[in-house]
Amino acid sequence: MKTRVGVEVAGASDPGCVRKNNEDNFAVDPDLGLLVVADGMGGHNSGEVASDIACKTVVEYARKMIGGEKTVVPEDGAAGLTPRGRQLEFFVKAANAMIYEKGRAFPKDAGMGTTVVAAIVDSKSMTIAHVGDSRLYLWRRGDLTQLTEDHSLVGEQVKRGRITAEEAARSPQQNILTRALGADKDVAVDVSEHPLLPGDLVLLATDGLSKMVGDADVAAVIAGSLSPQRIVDALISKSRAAGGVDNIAIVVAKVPAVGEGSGVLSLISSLFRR
Amino acid sequence: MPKLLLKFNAAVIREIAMDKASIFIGRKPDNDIVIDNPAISGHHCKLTMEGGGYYVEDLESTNGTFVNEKRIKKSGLHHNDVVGVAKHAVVFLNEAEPAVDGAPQPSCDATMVLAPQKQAEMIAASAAAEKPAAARKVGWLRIIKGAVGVAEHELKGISTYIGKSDRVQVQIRGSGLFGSAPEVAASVHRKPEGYIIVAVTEGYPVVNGAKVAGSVVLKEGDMINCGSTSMMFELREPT
Amino acid sequence: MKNKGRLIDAAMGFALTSFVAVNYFYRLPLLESVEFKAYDLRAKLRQDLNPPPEIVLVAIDDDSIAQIGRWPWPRSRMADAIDNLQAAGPKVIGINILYSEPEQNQGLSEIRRLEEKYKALLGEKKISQKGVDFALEFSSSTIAMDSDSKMLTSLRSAGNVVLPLFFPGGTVGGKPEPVPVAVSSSALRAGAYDIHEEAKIAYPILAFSETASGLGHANLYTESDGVLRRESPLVKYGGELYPSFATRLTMAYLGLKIEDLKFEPGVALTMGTLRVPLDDENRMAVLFNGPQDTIRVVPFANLMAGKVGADFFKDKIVILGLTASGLSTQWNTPVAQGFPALEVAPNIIANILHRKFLTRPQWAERAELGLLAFIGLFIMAILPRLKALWGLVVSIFLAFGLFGAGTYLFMNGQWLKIGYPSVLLFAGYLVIISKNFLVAEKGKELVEASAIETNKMLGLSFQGQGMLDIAFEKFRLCPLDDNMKDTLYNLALDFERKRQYSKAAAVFEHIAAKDPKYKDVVERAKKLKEASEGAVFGGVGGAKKEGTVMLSGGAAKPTLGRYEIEKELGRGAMGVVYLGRDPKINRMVALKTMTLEEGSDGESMKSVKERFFREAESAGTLNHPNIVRIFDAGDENDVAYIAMELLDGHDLVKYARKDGLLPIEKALEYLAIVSDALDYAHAQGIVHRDIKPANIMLLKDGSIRVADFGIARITSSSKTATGAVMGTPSYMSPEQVAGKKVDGRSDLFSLAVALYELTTGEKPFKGGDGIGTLLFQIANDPHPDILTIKPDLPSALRAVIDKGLAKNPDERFQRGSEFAAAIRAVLKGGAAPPDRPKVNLPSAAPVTVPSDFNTMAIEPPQRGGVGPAVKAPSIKPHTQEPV
Repeated sequence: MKTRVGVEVAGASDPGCVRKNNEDNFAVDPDLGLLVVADGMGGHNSGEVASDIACKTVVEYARKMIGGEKTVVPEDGAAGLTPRGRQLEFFVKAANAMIYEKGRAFPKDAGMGTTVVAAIVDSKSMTIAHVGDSRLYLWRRGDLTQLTEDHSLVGEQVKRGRITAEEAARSPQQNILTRALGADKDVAVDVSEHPLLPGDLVLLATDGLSKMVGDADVAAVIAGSLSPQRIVDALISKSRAAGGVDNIAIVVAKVPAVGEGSGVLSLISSLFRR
Repeated sequence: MPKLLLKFNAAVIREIAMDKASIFIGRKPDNDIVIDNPAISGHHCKLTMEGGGYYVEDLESTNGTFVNEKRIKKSGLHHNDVVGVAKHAVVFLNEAEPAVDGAPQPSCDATMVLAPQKQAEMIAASAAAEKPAAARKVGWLRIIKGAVGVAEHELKGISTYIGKSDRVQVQIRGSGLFGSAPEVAASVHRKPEGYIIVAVTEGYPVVNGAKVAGSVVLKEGDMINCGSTSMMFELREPT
Repeated sequence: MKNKGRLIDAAMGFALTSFVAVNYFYRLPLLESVEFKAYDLRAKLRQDLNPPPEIVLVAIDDDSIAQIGRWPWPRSRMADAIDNLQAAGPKVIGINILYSEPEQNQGLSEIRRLEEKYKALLGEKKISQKGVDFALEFSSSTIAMDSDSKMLTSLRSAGNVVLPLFFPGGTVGGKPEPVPVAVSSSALRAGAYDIHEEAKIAYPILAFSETASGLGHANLYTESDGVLRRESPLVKYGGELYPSFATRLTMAYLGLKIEDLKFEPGVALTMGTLRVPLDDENRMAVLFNGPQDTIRVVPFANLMAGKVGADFFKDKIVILGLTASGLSTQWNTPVAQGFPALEVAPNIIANILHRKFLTRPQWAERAELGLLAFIGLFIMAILPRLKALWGLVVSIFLAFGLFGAGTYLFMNGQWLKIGYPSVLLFAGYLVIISKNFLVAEKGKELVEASAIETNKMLGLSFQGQGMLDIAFEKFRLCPLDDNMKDTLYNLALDFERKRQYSKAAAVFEHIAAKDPKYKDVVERAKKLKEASEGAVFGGVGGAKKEGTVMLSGGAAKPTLGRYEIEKELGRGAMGVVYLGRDPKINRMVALKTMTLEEGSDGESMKSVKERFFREAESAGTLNHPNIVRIFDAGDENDVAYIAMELLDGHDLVKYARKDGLLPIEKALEYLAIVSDALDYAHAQGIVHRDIKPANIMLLKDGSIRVADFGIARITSSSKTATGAVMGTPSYMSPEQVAGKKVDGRSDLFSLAVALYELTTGEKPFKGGDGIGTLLFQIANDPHPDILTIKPDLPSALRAVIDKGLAKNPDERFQRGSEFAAAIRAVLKGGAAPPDRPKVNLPSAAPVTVPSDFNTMAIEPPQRGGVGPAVKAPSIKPHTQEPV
């Protein structure tokens, strides 16, 4: 679906081939350019509950604070954040509070948690917030770059250069998270801002994707498909074909490329505001 | 530093500090832990520290190596894990590591949470186990000429952008008659292999006199020209 | 929203375009003056600073007046000038001075009066002519003094002098004054067309008019902004069309007569071979040649002094007139302010002779309307969509295009009114861009939400999720304004609905503290407080009635099943515990509630309920004096409850501390009773699973009750079919820790832990920093010898405890009765100590849980689809359950 902010988005979640339940969730709000993916964990179905709360809370707050008559920006937030960064940080922190308090109030949900990666995109830029090991990739001119750093033990090790990404992919400690929503009363959220260019593609995915499909394959799928919906479908079927061991949730947003027509048309279209 | 308790039945026979990257267990005397028992192979198994994590690997022993009663080939080790070799048991104690893992075998498939306050300890622990030289230097861009605003930029995030837009971290001056420059000219990304500069606007960033087409790994002292702004890539000790 | 903005842009663009169009059609001065400015700008570009060779001016300037004498000069001087000029052979002379009256010469009239007098006296013969011929004298004096006659003579002898006439104004309508033939012969007959008409006329004295080679009107008409841009070559007066002074001079120069003038109304005026295009008002645009002094000028004094070369005036048009300051008129023209009137006619003549015309092409109006429409559409539809920079670039480009085209046409003699489209473009740009700027700023308006507002938002979210406590916590951080009072009031009602009366009361009190008059908060708080407290301290008797009365006055008494809820007693691992009353038999009970949930594996609510009732039923079958009775179980909506015996007493927790130990005999006695009760229950196939001092009640009458039988099982049964392990880590048996199947011997292990604790004041397994250590110890480590802690204990007790804490169930007491017997044997002072049990290798991995050693659920290690799930702590600490 085409958003009001001028990007095309699609998303899907799939339990995979092995697991019965799906603890991964996603949400998109095309009008706000809001994309969320969450990977829950916890006993019984509370993993699903946690990821669901994460997605719903972020969307609910975004609608309240961005989609309303006025854009409401929380007064305080981490230093150096743009207003949009402060908003997104707040949404994620609110989701954390929801999950944490729900876990405390309802024993059956005790200890539930979730990862989350959320982004607000428009045709020119995007703001990312994330906690945990769900990832956001930027595909630009054939190159796939991961813009989030996993909050996992191996992620921290990779960041410090102790092990390589290849070693990390094989490590049995992959599942140890160093940060998650719902684990504590407050959570540190990583927020970053990135400019977007025409033709860019943003991919949010839970670790179900990265475990099953290599970056090169993901890049190839993106390069070979035109619409976000097709990319999402192709990635899910590819992950299933590889075994589909884990749940998977994917959201894709594409900034339309200018000049998909002739040079003159693209020049003219570049004169007009979006 | 993790400790190993060698037990026979319930009795603790020895306590060994895991002070090196790998510890071999076996019957032969060249092992670090020698257990003179016919049920134990010459080189039975080894415990290793890899990338901050600990592992036990069976060295094709006759009677096998067990972790928490499950026979394994190679397995991660966590606090209180019990490595079984014949009638002996080696209890792996790593106080620095928060108790995360209680299942018979560390799982590779389910996600789990560590309490955040434990994270620092854990990272510190893994850092301590590491050679201190591994502390990674942080990249900086020092603007030599044509600064807009701050003259020094620490490459803090995973991605830093260079361009004329006010959304980017490193703002540059344009060139030419109208001082035009792309909104985003280039981006610098922190990768395991180092910092790489990516030409967002093809051919705009110039590194050491050569136009960047795709991406280039930055080396200390590299000169980057974007528009009429020149900057030097530097590596500094993290503060 | 964006479309709406576009619509507003288009509407504003349309309004502007309409406004400009109306101005265009009616030539309203506001925008017409802009057009004139644009005209003047272009006119300056077209000026040609070379003086036309055919025309020379003789100017009566300030110097001439200074040299010759004060103005007015006698006409004889003009006559001299005409004579002087005539000698130089000009083609035509124009005198731009109107002599409409005979000269008033005092000398002449005096001489005439004297002559009259003289002639009268002579006639009366009062005087006589002697010697001197006075008549001749008079005659010569008269001639010398009569300038008019002199001038007439000069005019006549010159024969090529054009004189002006003038329309002094006045309203057209009355009957025009008839004019002499000498004057009207200079005019064309007017047809029935629209042409400027004048009401009055002033012409030179008849003699001059008759003598002149032509008369032309010297009227000049300015535009609405007071600038002279056009000449009226013909003006109507009384049915005749009078050519202008300039036209007349041109005709004279070309040797044309009035009959040679052909007038096509609104199109052109043809004089011989020269065709002068006219506009729809029959006027001709004047293209002025430079600011001033661009016509060759000879001062009058120089002419009279003979300082001018002989050929200078040869075959020229010579125009004589005033330029001296104060005596001459000046005009505002496109090229200059204060343009001397004398220089206007030469410019017109030069235009005509050199065919330097400016016309409005026939397509001008269509083109102008087209341009207006184009610019209108541009500002309506395109400009609002362009990026700011491009909007500016395109607008500037268009403006240049307009002005360039307009100027190009102007230079080629065609006048296109580019002022209107330019104004529209400029105004449109300003309006649209500034509107977009303002609106865009407005759209981007960011509102800072203070911590108070964010807290309120969070609070509302929590309330929506049913997490009322945390919602209240958040709301408390917000100032109590009216809105917040409302929010809190609703929160209190939510608490009330959830039967949490004391909390509801707290919320009402929070409001009342600030505003006691707000709604009925004070009453409500009071009633709820009484409802929650009254029943506790008032006891079951009289206070109960009181409570009923109070509650019936306020909130309806809530019920659960058939039980009336009196108040909340506390909260347990599974849910809230209420004090309930069975109205049928007026029995007070403790109601333990729990929320039933559908199983994760898709188990239906029905089977979850079935399992719950099966467990409750089996616990309910227990009928033993030392076991807390379960009367009833039921469910309402998703809340299941168990009604059980309400006890008046306390548990044994306070005796498990070193400074609070019971006498050894008491402790042993009580635990022997518990052990017997367990024997009974185990015989019924029911395992407690959570034996600990907190679940052993000592009533006021000194009797012992084991509480919460089967509750652990029931609780877990309400949650999951796979059966989470419930228990309190410190009291768990090794098999319980390992998640294995447990039987009665597990309870006996827990009882042995309790025994250890109640006799020594210490726990056998204390754990370390983490609960994992504790569980590891339970599974692997031997417990410390009780005698090392408390050497005065009977040594026989050590053997009992060692056996009770054996890791292997097979090595423990196999039945409660055996354990009880062993305890009682210690009491009696003799027991056979069993062998110290052998400690096994760890049989299960420790399970990690947080460091709160209360009742908790531990997931079985095997769960989920792939491989063993590593579980994070999922333990919810809970408060003691009062019973």
